Amino acid sequence: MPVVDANGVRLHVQQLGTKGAPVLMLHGIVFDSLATWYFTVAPALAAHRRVILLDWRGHGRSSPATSGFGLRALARDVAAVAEQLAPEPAAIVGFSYGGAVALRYAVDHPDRVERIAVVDSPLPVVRGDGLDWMERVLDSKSPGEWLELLPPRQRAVLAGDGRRMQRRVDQMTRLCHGTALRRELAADSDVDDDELASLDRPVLLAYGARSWYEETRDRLVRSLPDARVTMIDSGHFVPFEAPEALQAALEAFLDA
Amino acid sequence: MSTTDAVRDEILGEIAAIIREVVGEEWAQETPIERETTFGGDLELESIEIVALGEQVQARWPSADFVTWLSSMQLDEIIELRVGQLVDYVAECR
Repeated sequence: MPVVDANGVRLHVQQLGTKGAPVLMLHGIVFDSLATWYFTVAPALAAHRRVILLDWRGHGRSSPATSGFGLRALARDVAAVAEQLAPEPAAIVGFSYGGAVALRYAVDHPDRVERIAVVDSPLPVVRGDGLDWMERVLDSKSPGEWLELLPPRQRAVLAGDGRRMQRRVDQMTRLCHGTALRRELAADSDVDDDELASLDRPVLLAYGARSWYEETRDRLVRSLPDARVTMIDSGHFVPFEAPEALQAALEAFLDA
Repeated sequence: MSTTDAVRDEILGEIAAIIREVVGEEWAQETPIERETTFGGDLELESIEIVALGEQVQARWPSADFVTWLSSMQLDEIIELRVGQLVDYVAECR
């Protein structure tokens, strides 16, 4: 298994494609893994680009971790992967929480980032109103409850209450109840408006037409100096709900 | 049995061994893995385990471009793939 040693953990990485500009793709948090990209848009993007996927610490096939899940900590993990696999300025694509990490990484390491695509991300990641997706997921008691939040295609993939579903629940339970994740997300949840204003890189905001995060999209449009919005006919889970449209939007942005 | 069938049986045996290794759990050693076995419904493989399977298939048969093969399918189709489809793809690429 290809791994990168980063800040005391071993991160599982997958590299697709051998030629072209590097693209780092970041997945969502808690029940996600790099498979989100591997089975949707990554193979197509890799036809002309060097695509690098990583599993966050404690997710997928990366080693378990009890801390280091806040935006800054995960941005440091991205930096370690980029340093070893793509030291030149790279495009960063992040879905959901991964998009928030991408913005944090770009603010902290502007010289390493060529452009950023944010796919239906919340920012701040945790809001006080308790209606945030993360909070709903973390507070839900039964797997069935949060399965209902998923679009049909993803629900079919996780299918019922079998082993696949159980493994996701195990990962979620481990992360939410056996680590500092919830505390760290609340403590390091945002990228300030003035930091966003300093980010002079092109940013694509690819948001679902039925996004849970319209407010974030509008805030990012106001705060970022070089942002463009692409609305996709989808809910929150854009890579699963509208892979073709997302692929087209990313290709156009990456080639611009 | 034709030579082609023999080759496919051999590939099936190797892929079954890879699947058992990727799963790494006791039940997988006892579960029959045949051409009609599905990755999702029968084996209950998680998507990240199919990534691991692809990595090993690619390493064992470098001419089989697993990622490109998958790129023509949707995730729900991939999850419901039969082991025999992967065997046939590997056989064609050899």
